[in-house]
Amino acid sequence: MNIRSQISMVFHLDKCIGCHTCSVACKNIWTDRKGTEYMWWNNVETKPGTGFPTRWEDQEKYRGGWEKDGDSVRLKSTGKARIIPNIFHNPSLPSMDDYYEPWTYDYQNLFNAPAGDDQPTALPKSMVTGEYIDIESGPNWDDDLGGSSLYAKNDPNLESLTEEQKQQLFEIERLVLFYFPRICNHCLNPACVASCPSGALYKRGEDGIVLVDQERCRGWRSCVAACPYKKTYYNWTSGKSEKCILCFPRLETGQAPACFHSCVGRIRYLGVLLYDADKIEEMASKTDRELVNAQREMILDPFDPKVIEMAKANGIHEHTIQAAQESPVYKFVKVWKMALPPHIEYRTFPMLFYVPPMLPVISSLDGEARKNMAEGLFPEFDQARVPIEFLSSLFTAGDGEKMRYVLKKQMAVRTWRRAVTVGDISKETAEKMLIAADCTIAEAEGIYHLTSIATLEDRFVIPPAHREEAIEMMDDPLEYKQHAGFGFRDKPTRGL
Amino acid sequence: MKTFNFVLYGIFPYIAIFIFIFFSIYRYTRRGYSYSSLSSQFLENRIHFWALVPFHFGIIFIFLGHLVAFLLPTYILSWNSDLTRLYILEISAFMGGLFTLMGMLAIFIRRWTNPRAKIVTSRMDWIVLTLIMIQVLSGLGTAVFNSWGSSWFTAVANPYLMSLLRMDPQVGFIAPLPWMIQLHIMGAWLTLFLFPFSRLVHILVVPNPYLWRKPQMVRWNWNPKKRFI
Amino acid sequence: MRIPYFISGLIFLTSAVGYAQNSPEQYFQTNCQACHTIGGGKLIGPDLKDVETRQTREWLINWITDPASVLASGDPYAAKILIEANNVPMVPSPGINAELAARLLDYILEIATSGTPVVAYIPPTFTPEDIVIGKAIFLGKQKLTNTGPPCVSCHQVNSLSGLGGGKLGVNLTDVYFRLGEARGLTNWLKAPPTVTMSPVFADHPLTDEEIVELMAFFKNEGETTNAPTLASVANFILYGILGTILLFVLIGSIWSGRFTAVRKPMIAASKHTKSTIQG
Repeated sequence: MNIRSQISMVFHLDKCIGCHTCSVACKNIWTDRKGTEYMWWNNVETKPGTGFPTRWEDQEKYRGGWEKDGDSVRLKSTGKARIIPNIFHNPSLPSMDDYYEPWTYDYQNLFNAPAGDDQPTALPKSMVTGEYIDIESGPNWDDDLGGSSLYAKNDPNLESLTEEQKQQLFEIERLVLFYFPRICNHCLNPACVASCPSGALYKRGEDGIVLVDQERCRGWRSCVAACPYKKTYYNWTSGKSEKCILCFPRLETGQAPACFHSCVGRIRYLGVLLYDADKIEEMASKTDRELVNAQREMILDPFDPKVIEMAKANGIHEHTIQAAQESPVYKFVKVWKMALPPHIEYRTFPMLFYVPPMLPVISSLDGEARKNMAEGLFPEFDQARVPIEFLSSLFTAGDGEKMRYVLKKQMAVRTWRRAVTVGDISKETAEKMLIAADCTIAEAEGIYHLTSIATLEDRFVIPPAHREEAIEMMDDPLEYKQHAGFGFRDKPTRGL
Repeated sequence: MKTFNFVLYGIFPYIAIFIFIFFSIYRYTRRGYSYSSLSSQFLENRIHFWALVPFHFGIIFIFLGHLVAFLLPTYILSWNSDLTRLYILEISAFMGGLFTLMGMLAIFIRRWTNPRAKIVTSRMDWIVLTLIMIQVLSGLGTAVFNSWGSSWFTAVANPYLMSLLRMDPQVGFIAPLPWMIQLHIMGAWLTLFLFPFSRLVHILVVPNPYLWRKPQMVRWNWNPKKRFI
Repeated sequence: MRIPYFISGLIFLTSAVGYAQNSPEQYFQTNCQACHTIGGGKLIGPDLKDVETRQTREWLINWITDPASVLASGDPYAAKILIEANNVPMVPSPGINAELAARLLDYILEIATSGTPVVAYIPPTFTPEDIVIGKAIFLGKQKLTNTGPPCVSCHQVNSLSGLGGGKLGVNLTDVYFRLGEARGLTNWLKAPPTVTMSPVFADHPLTDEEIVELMAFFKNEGETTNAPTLASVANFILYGILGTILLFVLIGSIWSGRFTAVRKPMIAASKHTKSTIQG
């Protein structure tokens, strides 16, 4: 057993209101430099929708992640020797056209335009070439189902739906959407790290954050192709790749990452998970449907004395073990089994989990009549406005049962709390529902607490970084806006 | 004229080699960050394929050909002792050169016509591109008009290069050759001279340990095995 | 090892210095006697006995150091000796300078006046086997004893089919007759005097037997008339272009599944199938 600790995350989709505060917080801190304008280390997508970059989930085209190869896995893009013939032109690299060409507006024209009959306008200008451009795409181009007849309809997750389900989904009065905020998953089996020919990408031993060593990156851009979530980005001006750093300078000083901290809906949770790194290859090579459980199996019980002993022997700080015991992520993922990894079938074992949304389950339109779906013991999930197949395609590799389990539990907890606070449902009925949903009253209260009234300290359990025990101390804590952090002797300009 | 040739082929090569080695190392240690392929595939990926793939495969093939001719001259001569084999070798090399040339042309067109690719092309990029273009053209010209290079390379270029290695430069081998071959040789030294100051340094950081390392990389801030001892 | 020379001397340690250090006798043997004798009669170039009775020393020094310029200046005597030499111009002498030229003239005078007896020249006899072996040597099928490169590397003869011989050097079809038949050619091949060939063969000379065999081949070449093949360059380029096209087809098919774009094709496709939101 090789126990490692990992700072992991849960996003509660039922609470996301799609305000993009997280994206803006991140952009302002990290990606306002030249070459990074198009990057969104944090972005919020509308589902159904094509996401960013367009249709990133279509791995037939993008070829990200791993594929099963006997008892092991291999990169879909260019692993090992396959890098040699493919290094000159990466055959799976999306171009800027699949993201968008960043632009600003010619604001000066508003002030400097000569007097005339018409109002002066500020034309869009490319931030790459500086030329006037026609805007064809942008971040959140399909926000809130904008252009749904084109964008939402091309969501790759819809492929698991029947024609009838698809038609129903796009009936105008049944239109439904939810938000899908995404950051780097800081995977256990990161494809980006495995694909990097220079060994520039690595996982930090102490907290599992995946980083790009800017000094070692040589711009071979394999990581961009290999990441199935398209969360490594190529900085076109410095010729290096960049990605979400989980605000490690903030984490090391005990603060939650900017996107977490700024989250208005308080949908984000952060905590430590202990896992067995020796099992990664074995677990990653299981069949698609086994993967969710395989990942849960790798995550270890931080209260188990044996685990604690092994963790300490492996150099994990006792404060980290303590944080793992209080981790909200551990509860959501392993104890309550409510948080699910996105697209586990990419086999990277993402360490960002999602509590799937159940808002469309509450009611549905049946002809003219609004039907309260909670009338029976459990709603008819199969008639939900967001088909269960759609959610399963996103979070359980198509396994509807696991999705039903989570939705049932959420439903039961809601019903239980309604019985407690409103009282129009009897506690007996609610208890029956809890039992049917594999949930105790204590658990339901725990879920309620963490979902609805959790404080900042409950949601973010950050272990102390103990940098005082680190081999190397930080070089220079001074960072500047529009600079690339610390450690550079010279300005990080584009090479010759 | 003699002195001029000697400076050109007897002294400049040493300067170029020195500059190449010294400044490549200097740049790697002082500004290793600037070592990058500086790929622009992300900005434009259609012509990129038809430009970069032919160019790189072609030029690596040609480079290896020169290297083999330098290291194993007797092998090349005995291969060439049959006319058919000589022709096969020469046509293959010529094909490689043409392949490279087509790639080069596409690179020029792409970098000049695509606004995004153009914006990331530095002045040094243009210099290096032009220099390599001259190399490719003079090489092709030599193959056509001053054949058969694969054979006479062993008699002319080999002893010249060996004499450079012996620190006893014999420019007599090079000085009387036609101007096209002289241009080719001069261009080679000039490329070496500019190497450490251009994007060409990416050749030095081609990923070799990748093929042998474990797929996942972990770095620790502290040594996990020693922490509690 | 000449490292000290190199280090001290970005100044000029040119090969000229090296040549100048040789005795004029040595220099004459390696660079002049391929075409000239002193009292032995005309080879390709004129016999150099009495040379100073024909022209002034000043003219001769000019001529030796830079024959091309003298010819280009339209000097009538230079034009005359060019015609006498079957239009084979005098080749530039490696490392020559005015001082060395003067010493050469001194040497010629010395030999001419000392009355060294001229050895009678006995022309070799060529057998049909010599022609066959000569051709093998020319093509590189038979390696040269002293590891010099084969003639075909740089030279063409008209009888060669296919893509022909090399084009770095001149066409050797009529070389036997152009360079003064057996006598002249033997001297030439013993120490090829042109600036391109001289350094190549200086350390890898042809053996006497090889010279005879090659001459047999060249004589045969010169006697059988073959039209020069002009198509070889065009063919060579054509094969190259065809091969390159094949290579392009090859990479196109190897990477036919490469990523090009997703968003734009998706939008383009939607414009064909006019889908609207049903309501």
